[in-house]
Amino acid sequence: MSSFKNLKMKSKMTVAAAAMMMAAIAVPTAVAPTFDAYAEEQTQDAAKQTSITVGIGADPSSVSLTWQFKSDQKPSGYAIVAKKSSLVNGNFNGKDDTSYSYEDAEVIQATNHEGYWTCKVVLSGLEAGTKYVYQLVNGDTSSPIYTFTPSKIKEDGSFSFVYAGDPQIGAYTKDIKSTKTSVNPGDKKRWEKTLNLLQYNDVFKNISFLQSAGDQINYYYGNENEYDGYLDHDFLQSIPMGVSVGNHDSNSVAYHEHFTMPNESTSYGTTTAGGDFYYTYGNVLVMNINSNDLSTAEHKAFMKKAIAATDDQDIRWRVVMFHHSIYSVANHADEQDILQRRTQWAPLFKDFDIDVVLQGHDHVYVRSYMMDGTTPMTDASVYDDKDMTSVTDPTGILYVTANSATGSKYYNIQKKNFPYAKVQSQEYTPNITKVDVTKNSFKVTTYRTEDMSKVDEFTIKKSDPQTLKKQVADLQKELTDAKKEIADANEQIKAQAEQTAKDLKEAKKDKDLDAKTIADLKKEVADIKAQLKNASSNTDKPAAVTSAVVDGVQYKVSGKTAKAVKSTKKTAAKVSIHTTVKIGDKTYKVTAISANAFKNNKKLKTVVIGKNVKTIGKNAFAGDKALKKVTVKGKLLKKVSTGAFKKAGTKKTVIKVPAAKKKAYKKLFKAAGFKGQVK
Amino acid sequence: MEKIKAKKILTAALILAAGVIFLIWSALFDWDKINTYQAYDVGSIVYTKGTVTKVLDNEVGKDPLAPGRMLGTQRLKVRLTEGRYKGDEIEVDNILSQLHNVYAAEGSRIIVCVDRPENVEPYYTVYNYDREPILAAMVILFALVMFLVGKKKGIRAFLGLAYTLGLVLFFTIPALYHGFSPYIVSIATILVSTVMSLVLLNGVSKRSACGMIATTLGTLSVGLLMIIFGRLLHVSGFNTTDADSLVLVNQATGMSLYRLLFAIVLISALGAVMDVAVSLTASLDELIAVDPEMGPASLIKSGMNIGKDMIGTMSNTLILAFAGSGMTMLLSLISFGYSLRQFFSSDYLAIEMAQGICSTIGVIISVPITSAICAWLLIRQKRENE
Repeated sequence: MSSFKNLKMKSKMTVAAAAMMMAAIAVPTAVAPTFDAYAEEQTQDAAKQTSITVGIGADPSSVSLTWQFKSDQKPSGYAIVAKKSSLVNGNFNGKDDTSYSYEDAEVIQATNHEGYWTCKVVLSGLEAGTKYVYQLVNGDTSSPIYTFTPSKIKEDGSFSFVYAGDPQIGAYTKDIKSTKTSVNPGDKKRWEKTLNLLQYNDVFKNISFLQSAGDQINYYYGNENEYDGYLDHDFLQSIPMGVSVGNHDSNSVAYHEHFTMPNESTSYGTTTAGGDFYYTYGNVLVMNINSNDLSTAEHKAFMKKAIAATDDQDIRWRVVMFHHSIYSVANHADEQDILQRRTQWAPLFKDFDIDVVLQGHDHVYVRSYMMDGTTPMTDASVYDDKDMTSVTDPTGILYVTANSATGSKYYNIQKKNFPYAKVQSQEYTPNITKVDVTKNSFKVTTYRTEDMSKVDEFTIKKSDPQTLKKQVADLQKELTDAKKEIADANEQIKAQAEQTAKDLKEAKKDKDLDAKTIADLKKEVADIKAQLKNASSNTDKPAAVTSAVVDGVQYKVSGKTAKAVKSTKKTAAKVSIHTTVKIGDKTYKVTAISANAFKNNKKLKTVVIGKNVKTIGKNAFAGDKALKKVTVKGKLLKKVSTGAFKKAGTKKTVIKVPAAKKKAYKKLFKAAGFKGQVK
Repeated sequence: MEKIKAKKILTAALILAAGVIFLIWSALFDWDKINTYQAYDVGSIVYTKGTVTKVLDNEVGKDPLAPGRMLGTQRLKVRLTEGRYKGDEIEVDNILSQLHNVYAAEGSRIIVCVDRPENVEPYYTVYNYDREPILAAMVILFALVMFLVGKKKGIRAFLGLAYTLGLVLFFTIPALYHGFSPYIVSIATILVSTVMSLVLLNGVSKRSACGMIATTLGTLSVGLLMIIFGRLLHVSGFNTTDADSLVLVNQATGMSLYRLLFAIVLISALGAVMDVAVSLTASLDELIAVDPEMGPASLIKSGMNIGKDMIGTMSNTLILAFAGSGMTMLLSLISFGYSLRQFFSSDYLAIEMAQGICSTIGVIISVPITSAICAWLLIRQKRENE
């Protein structure tokens, strides 16, 4: 009995467990989802060309024409292009007119649009400012005649274009619960409203082209209804338009089947929709990269190629455009893929000297600080004004994120600090951005489409290259001059150093200061101190300078005259007693030689006694054994004190005197102990 | 008895085998056949392990804001140590910034982002440190501790955990991504996980059965509460972070963003509910072993008494877990002057509270549920034995 119950219990369990397992396995496979294709509201399309759009060309003289045509079989297709002036009564004058151009279209099957074919034509050699007309022909069906005028770029390189943030036709749905999308007709109307502004408002009177930031439509499979909502507008048949690949466009061929972009790469930045492309307009190089391809290596190779290919053109502005903003502030700001692009691409753009980056994706308006790689330049001194409304010759890069041009979707700004965002704006109203370019300026102005009031404005200015070249030349010259100055100064210092070393060497030789001189010096110091004391106690009159050294001889003021007191170098070989000497700011006559002035100057050989000397003091030259020649210049000598020439020189020593005074002086000198000759 | 034991072991083995087969099937199944969506083209990018052989240039300076951190640029010579580029010596510019800072020295093991499209000059960046060895060591340490403390059962518990993880990675997430109903996928996940964990832990027994049923019912009650409160609070998968990228997945595969929140809450509540159910079942089973005469009424009463302590600590666990994970968020909110009203009406708080409270209520309800099931299964069994 028990075993049966146990079995029962066990088998219950086993069955229960097994059932659970089977359920877990079986159930998922049973409910594999099916989901409908996008809702299609195609009514009977009378055979006509649809989705007609003018695409921006590789340069202002070129555009592309892309359209779709419903046909069971592959149709032939071509475009007739002519100058408007060659029309007759508003019509083409028959096939043979040579002023018309027949451009065969590349025809491919529009796999995203059942029953349709895409036709692509690229026109080139267009003249700026000339009105052109075009007509699209497939088989027997001809389209209406459309006009467009390639815009003129002025002498100063000025032109403008418009940048539209994510139009995302079809995004305006309140709540997505199912896999079906419902295209709200409101988005088409909103886009029409914005395009009307561009077509009729004075601010946009002369724009050259329109560029969209990507996410032209919403449903990722490429809902043809949404493409119709984006393209079915008259304005787009007469102005060239560039489009970026957004994340909502990337996985579908529909993008390629509706747009033809210039210089499109088939190997760089490619996803299902398309690859990186570039174009030039005036002095601007626009590189439009497909940010759905995360391969930085590919985008780097692409940009290198594009810059090299346009090297011979006078490119003043390098602009990069792509969909996924790397510096924004709303829902997408910190997502992993955004951060990956930011850390890899910001340094890349810096290496390529990019000036401006225009982006979208985050459905908010953001203007960054000038960015040095990934570092924001927040110091106001970098800019022209403290409000940072413009900058001149910047080293950084400007990143702008555009808000939706249709208002189909907005994202809230995150409550976070974004150190790179200078201006952020979310007013839940559509924006449109106008860019005004000249050779030396790049102005980005963003308006609210509702009332054309300004959200933000920023200008980058660049100095004329000639001015910059001159500045560089001037600076180089300054540098060369400064370098020379430094070299000269170094020479001087070197010479001075050598002289000082020499003097030092000399000074070191003069070590013998005999005791007498020291005593004399000490007395001098005492005298000077006394003088100073007098001088300082006498506050009315500044102390007079009473002594000076001239040519190695010290002179002192004595009343109204000066006397030679001693030589500064006891070992001097020559002493010259001047006629006059400047002591302080007065000039004195030297009328006397002090007692002991040159006593025991044992190396003294030559002496010149100035004109004004009247008195030679006691022992003035006593002991000067080496004395050889003395020249007395003046006739005023009256007194030669005792012992002035005692032991001075030898018998051979000569004192030269003025002839007239020979006799008188001889007497004087002899009396003073002079043993030599007086001539 | 021997025969019964053998049968039990056989049954257990069969169940485990079935579970493992299911897991392997899920891992090998080509989900992309049903539908596929990949947002970005990353075909040319491979994240590869590498070792720094030389620091060629080191223009770095100290970060004034974070002592010990360096900012600047390094130029590194790296030898790739795995994958299709194994052995290649490459040079990488490693930029050290505030947010991305992988300071490398000679011998550092790092992960390099290798971007090598065909016929294009390769582009390398330093992605991060190679943390795999440390992570592996941590897991081994974890297993070791489980074994040392839990012995055989510890290892079995570890295996049960590994299985659940594998189940979520190879079944739950792909199934959700490719558009299967979150209700069905999450319920299947908890069923399979519960069965496998409990059979591993306790083999085929009444205790296991009790635990399984109680866990399933408890978790389902969490789910039910979540559906009710989710509607009332107006939250769904759309209000979670990263919801925006998932919208595109929804367009491609039909993955339901709206019902995703249900799956999230169910799976995160499983652990807590299983904890209560199994612990309580074990306690009640022991009570019956001590007093075989115990009637259902007194068993349930005992269950409630034991459960009272459990729910005290369990609710602490859940709420504190929320506080811990929300710490950085709360800190930054304070700095931005987030008003209290703003915070209380935010999506973030609504989802966190819904998750936390529904899970806790579910856990609390598990106590009477478990007690009742134990009374039904365990006592009857005993009675039948007489």
